[in-house]
Amino acid sequence: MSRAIVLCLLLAACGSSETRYAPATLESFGLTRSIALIDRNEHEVILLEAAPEQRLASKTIAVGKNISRALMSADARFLFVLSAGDSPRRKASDERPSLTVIDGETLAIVLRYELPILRDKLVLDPRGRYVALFAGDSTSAVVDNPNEIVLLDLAAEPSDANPLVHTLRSFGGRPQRFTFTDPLELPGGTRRLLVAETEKDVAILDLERMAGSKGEITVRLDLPSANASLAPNGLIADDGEAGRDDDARLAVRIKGDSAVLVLDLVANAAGDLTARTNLVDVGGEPSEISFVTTDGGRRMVALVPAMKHAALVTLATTAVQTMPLPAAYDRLAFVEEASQPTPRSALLWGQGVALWSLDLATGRPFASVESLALPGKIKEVRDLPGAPNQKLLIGDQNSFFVLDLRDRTVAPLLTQSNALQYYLPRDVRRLWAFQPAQARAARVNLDTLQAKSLVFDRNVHAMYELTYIDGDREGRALIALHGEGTVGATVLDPAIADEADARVYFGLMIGGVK
Amino acid sequence: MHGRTRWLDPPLLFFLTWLVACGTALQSGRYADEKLGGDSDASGNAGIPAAPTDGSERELESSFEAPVATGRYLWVANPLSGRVAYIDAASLAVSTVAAGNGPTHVAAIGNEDATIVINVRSNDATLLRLTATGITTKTYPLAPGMNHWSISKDGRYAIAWTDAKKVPLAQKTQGFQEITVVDLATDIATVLSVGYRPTQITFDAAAAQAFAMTADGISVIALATPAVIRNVRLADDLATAAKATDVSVNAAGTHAIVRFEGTDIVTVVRLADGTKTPLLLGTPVTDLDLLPAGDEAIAVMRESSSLALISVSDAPAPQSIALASQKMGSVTTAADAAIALLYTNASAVEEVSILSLGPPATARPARVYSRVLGAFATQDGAHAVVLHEPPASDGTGAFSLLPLAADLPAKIVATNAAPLFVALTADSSRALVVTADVGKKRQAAYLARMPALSTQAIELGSKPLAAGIVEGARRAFVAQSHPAGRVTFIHLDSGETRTLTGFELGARIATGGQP
Repeated sequence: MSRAIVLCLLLAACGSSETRYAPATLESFGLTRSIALIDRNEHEVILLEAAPEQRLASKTIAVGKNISRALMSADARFLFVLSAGDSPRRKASDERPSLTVIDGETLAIVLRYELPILRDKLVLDPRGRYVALFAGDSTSAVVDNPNEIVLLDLAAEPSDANPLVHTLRSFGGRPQRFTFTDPLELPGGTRRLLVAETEKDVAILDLERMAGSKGEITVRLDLPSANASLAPNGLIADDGEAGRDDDARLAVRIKGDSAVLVLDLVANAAGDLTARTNLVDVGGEPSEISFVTTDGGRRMVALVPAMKHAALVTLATTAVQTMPLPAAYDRLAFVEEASQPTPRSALLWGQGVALWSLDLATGRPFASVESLALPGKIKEVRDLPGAPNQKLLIGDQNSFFVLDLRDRTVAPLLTQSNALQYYLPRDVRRLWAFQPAQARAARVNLDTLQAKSLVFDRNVHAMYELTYIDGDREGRALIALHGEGTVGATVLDPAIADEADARVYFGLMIGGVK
Repeated sequence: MHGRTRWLDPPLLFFLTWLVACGTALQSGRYADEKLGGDSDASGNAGIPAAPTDGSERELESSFEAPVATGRYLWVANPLSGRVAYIDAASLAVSTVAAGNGPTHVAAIGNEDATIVINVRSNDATLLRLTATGITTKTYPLAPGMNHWSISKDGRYAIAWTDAKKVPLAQKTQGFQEITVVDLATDIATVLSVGYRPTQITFDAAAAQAFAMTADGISVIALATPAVIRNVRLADDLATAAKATDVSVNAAGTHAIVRFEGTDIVTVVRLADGTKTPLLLGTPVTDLDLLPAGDEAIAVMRESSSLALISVSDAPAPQSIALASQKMGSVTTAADAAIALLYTNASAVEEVSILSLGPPATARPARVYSRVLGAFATQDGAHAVVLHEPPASDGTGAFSLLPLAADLPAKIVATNAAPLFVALTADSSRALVVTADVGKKRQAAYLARMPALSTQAIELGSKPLAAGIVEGARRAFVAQSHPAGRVTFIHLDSGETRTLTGFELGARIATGGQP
C-alpha cells in the first residue's frame, strides 16, 4: 500500500502580519483521549484527537496570556495551564494571572480562575481536588513575598475565598516543596493536610481550617544552640491504625543527614492539632522512606544505599532494627495484591533488584530479601498495564527487563542506547520505546515480548496512543510527534505498526489538522 | 547509707547533660541504695567495675546525673541553649524556659513542680517554679565551680557544692571547699567554707542544720544564719580518720556514725561536742547503713557472717546478729519496712539474706541463680530487684525479682545486656531495669510488675543514660544518648511506650496564632 501523505493546510491568516509559530521546545501531554500541545506564542493549547483511518482532528483552546507552566493531573484527564497574564496591564481588559483547566476528554475548558497574584510554580493534589501555587526562585516584581501561596479548591465555586491567598508563617525560609496528604484520622476528625517544606522548617496546613492562622503548625528545624539548621528533603504521611486518631504521622527526610524527622500528629491540651517531634537516626542518609506493615507490626523503613541496609523503625520507641541488604538499593515500591489489605512484599532496586518479603522483615530478616542478579543499575521501575505481577525495569546497560513477580522470571530486552524513553499506553499490553531526536522506535508486545522496530521520516519527540470511537467499536491510534519546525505527527495503527500504512501530518502548530 | 539515685555510667553527652536530684529524686521513685557506677571495661559494658582482686566489696559510686521528675514533669537542662525543657510525661508536650548561661545541674525542690539549676558558666542558679498561670524564675549567685545540689526535705534550703569526683583531673590543691546555701524563703544565697572535698551534704529532719561530710570530718552548718558553726573530727588520729567511710548523720542531727575501711571500728560521734564512742565489732566492717527511721544503723561484717544493729545515740548498744548464710558484705534497706537485704558482690555468691529487723531480728537465706552485683528493695519491703553480674563473654545479663515478705522463690530474668539502672515506684508495684551493651549497641528496658513478677521488655533506640519514675504521670522514663535529647516514657499500667527525641525542636513548634 502506498504511503498516503496528507499535507496539512496552512492556517489562513489573511493580512495578518503576525509571526507564525517558531517553537523553541515542544511541550506535549498525553491526556486520556487527546494530546495537548502547548503553544506559548499564541497563548493556546492545541488538542489532537484520533479518528479512524489514521486521521487526526484538532481543536485549539485559548488560555490565559503568557503561559508559564502546564501540568497534567495524575489521572491524565485534565490539563492545568498557568498563565502570567498581561504585564504591564494598561487597560481593564488586559488579563491578570490565571489558571485554566482543560478536560482532555471533552476537549473543553472546565474551570478558569483569575488569580490575585502571580505565582509560577504549580502543585496538583493527587486526588484532584486542590491546586497550590507558590513562588519560583526569582521574581520579576519589585517586591514579592515568597511565602504567599495561592490555594484553589476545585470542588468549590470561584469566590473571594477561592482561590485563597495565604501567607505562610516564616522564620526566614521560603517554600521549596508542597505535599498534599491523603485523608488522615486526626484529633477532631478525618481531614487532609497540605505540608510545605522550606529550607529550614515544615509547615503543616489543615486544609479544612485555612481561615486565619488556626490551621497552621510550623515545625522549626533551626537549632540556634548548634548554629545549624536541618533542611527538609521530602516527606511522606501515614495514617497509622484504622480507628485511631492519635497515630497519624509525617516522616521527613533531612538533607545530608542520617536523621529522619518523625512528626506525630496529636492534640495539644486545648484539643487543637499539634506535632510532636522525634528524630530517628537510620544509620546514613536515606534515599527513600516509607511506612510498611511487617510481621512485627507497623514500621517506618528507610533505605540507606551507602550502608547497604534498610532501617526498620518501631515508631513508639524509635528503636531501629538494621537489616543488611545484598546491594545498594535506593528505591522501594510495594507490590499491591488485590487479595491483601496491605502489601506483603516490596520491590527494591538500585544496584540490582530484590524482592523483600515484609512478612519476614522483623522475624527473619536474613531470609526476607531475594535478590535478582542483573547487570548494571536499575534506573526506574514502572508498572505494566493489565498485569499487577509484572514490572518494567529500566537499566543503564542498554537494556530493560520485564520482571514477573509470580514466576520470578526476568526477561532482558536489549536496546540501542541508554537514552531511550518508554511509553506505556493504558489498558493495552504494549510498550513503545524511542530515542528522542532520532527517527527510530520499537514496539514490544508485553505478552509475547516480541519486539518490532519502526523507522519514521522525522525524529520522534514523543509517542502516544489514543482511542477513538468508530461507529460501535473503539479503535486505537499511535501518534508519534515530531517536534522540529512547526511540529508534525505520524499516525498509524498500533496493533499492526506498519510504516507503509501511516499518515503523516505537518504544521500542527500553525493550522491544526484540516 | 541513705536511699539515693545511683547510676552506673558516666554520661557521654554532646550538649545535653542530665542531673541527679540528690535526695529529692526519691520523690519520683525510689532508687537503689547501693551505688552503681564505674568505667567501661574492655567489652564495652559500661558502668560495672571489675571484681576487685583483694576480695573487698565494690562500692559503686554515684557518677551519673539524671533528669529530674516533679509531679508529672520531667526537667532537662540544655547548657548550650541556656534553656531548661520541661516535658509533660503524660502528653509529651515540651516547653522550655530560659535559665542562665550553661544550665547543667538540676534538682527538684520539695513536693511542688519546681526545680533549681546550676548555670555553670554564669556561676548562678535559677529557680524554676511551674504554677497554674505559668512558670516563674529567680536567680541566685553561687560560688564558682558548683556541680551538685543537696535540698532539704521541706524544700526551703538548697545547698550547691562541688563533688570532686565529677571534676576530671582535679589537682590535690583543689579543695572544693566552698558551698553556697540558698534560702528559698528569704531569697538569700550565702557562700560558706567547709572541710576538704565534701562528699555528701545532708540535713537534719527539722532542716535546722546541714552536715557536710569532708576529709576533715563533718562541717556542721546552722541554716538559719547560715554559718559553719563547728567541725567535728571522726577520729582522733589522722591515719584512722583518713579511712573514714559510710558516714551518716541521724535524723535528729545529734549524732553521726562512721566506719573505718579495713577495721572493725564503728564510731558514734556526738555532733554537739565531738564526743566519740568507738565500737569494736570484732571483724572488719564491710558496710554501714543508716536505717530509714534515721536513729539506728546496721553494720555488716562479712568475714564473721554477722551484723550489728547500733543505736546512733549516746548509748549505741550494738546488738549482734549471726547469719546462717554465706558471707554477706553489703546491706540495703527498705524505706517503709523493717526489712534489710544482705549480699556480697566481692565473691561469686548466688544468695542473699533477708533480714527482718523485728525485734527480734531474724534472717533467712534466699537462693538466686547468678552472682549478685547489687540489690534494691521496694519501699514497702515486699520485694527486691537483685542485679546479677553479667556472664563472662557474651554481653548478656540478668536480674531477679525476689519476694521478701513472702517466702517464695526468686524469678530470674535474662536480659540482652548488662543491667545499668534500676528505678522503683513509690507504691512498690513496679520496677524498671535498664540494660545496655554499648559495644553491641543493644539496649532495653524491662518493666517488672509485683507481686506477679511478670516482665515486659522494651527495646530502646540508643544508649540509656538514666531512668526514673514520673509518679504524677504514672510513667517510667529512660533518658538516652542523643545529640538532640531523647527520652522514652513507659506507662506503668498499660506498658505503652512513647519516645520523644529533639527537645529543642519540640519546644519550637509554632501553632495557631503563636509565633
